[in-house]
Amino acid sequence: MFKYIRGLFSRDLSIDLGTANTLIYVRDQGIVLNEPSVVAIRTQGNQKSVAAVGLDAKRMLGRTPGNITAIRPLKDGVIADFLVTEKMLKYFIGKVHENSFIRPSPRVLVCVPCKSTEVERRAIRESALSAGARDVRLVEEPMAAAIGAGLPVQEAVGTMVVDIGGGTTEIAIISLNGVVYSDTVRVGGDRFDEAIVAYVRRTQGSLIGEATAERIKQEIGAAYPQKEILEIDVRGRNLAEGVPRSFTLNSNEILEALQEPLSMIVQAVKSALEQCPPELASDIAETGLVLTGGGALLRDLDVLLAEESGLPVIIAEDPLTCVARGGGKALELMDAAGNADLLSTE
Amino acid sequence: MSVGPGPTLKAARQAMNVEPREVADALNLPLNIVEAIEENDFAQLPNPVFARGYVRSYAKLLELDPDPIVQQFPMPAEQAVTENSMSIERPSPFAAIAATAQRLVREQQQLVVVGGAIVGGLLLVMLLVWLLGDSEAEAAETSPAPTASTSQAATAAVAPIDAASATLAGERVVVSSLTESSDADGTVSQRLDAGDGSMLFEFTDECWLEVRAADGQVLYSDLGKPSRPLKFTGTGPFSILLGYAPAAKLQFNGEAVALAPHTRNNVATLVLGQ
Repeated sequence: MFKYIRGLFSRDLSIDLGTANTLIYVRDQGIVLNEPSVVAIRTQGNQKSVAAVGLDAKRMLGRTPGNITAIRPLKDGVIADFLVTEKMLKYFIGKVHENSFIRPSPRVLVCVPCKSTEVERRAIRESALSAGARDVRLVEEPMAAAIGAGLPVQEAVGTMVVDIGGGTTEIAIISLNGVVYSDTVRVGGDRFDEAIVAYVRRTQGSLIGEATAERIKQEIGAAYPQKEILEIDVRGRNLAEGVPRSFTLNSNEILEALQEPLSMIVQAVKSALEQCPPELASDIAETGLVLTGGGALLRDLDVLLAEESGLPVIIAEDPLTCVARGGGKALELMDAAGNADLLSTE
Repeated sequence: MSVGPGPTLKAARQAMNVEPREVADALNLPLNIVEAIEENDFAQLPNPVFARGYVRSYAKLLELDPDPIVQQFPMPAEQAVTENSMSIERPSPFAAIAATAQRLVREQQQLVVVGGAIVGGLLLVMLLVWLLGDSEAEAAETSPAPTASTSQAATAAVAPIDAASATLAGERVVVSSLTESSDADGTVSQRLDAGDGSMLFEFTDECWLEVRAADGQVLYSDLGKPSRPLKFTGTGPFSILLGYAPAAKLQFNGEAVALAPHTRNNVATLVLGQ
């Protein structure tokens, strides 16, 4: 009853609870929050308290003193630390409702990886409920991504979505508001960063942090040989000498570093095409596959996939926010026509 | 069919000396789609979302900045999306109810805001009244005076008959007489009764002073300031209380009175003029 009254003062939210970033979409307002999924926990004796969430906490990653740990409560697209996820969600929901003095109790739609287990889904649902949501709906991430990209999901036409997130890559073939085939590979932006860290360690004998690796990936990372070779200066700790050293990396080296995770994505796309029913395969061959998620911003990833799969590959507009926007639209559709086949509820 | 990215792309392709066939191969698109894009023949193209994607890839292939070219494409993605969801978003009773509920919520929120503003305004007014009222009262206290001479005259007249009644008036005169009979050196004098004994208080620090008549009536009570010596005229007896005796000097009829014997814990109590 109270939740209902509080609900009147809250807004419906669509949350893309990603490994790297959490996005919140509010109806009529668009994306209102886009922050890293990082929480900094301060330990005092036996007591733990939240020191920072989101951007502030991300700045602390790898730079914390002994009593603060900056952690990412989601791993591979699912909850790794239940309590911390709950705290983070509570903070984000509060932040979206900053100017209301009644404790918010919104309806929430959360996107989940399609290969997540029942236990993982329940964990997400429970933590959203304990973060104050009055009603939680789950939608599969590639479905939300497809809706967000504006694909004709409700038609009897097959469309293929590849959503490359921070922790996972979701591949799905969608037709008639349903997922025909889906697969999740635990490769994403994080794996790209790790691959760069490992490569630099191997070839330069230096250790760099994840944040530096991410910067290298964003600035010169590419998935396909470039005509123009880009360079970047980075600093890392030399393993032999133990002191920080500066060195230069170029885009071809990063391309080499990314080979392994990229080939896993290519393999997954190929196996999805193999297992696709022939009618849908012909639809996909005609229209092509759509890339969404932060990974789609990797330079020339579409060219690589187009060459490997022989299909036209397009990048959705504003790929980072596709999932959250799609979730928001799914909520609207659900209200408009009780279109329940999009959503899973218990 | 004049508006669209087609001509730009075609010109760029010709400038680079590339055949449509090669473009089609590079993008894995059928040749007719590439040609349709160049001709701005939107009927030939599939769903606008895909078509925009093709235009973007094409622009990238020709090393052009994709965003302005995609902007030229006539159907924006949002519009395409609403068109797609049209079939689902038909007006249903649920939608109507949802809309009404939303409107109600909005009105409620407005009410909360308006109510808050009114309450806030009232509080502000009350605060102002309180503050202003306070300062007016202060003003009245600090600017006393003009009644002084008459009431002092009255005191003088009444005093000889009855000391007690004089003290009553005297109490009232306390402040007013200050200005009336201030000496050149700033000494404040005050007549307490008909007698002509005089008490002079001088202070080196703030000190509470209370002068009472024999029957316990309070004749004077106020904080003595270092810059304001106080002079009282009368015969007494008066009982005197000094809140901080070390800071006070007392002369009675021109003779200094030692306060130390009467002082305990810095508070001096003594009786003068017996």
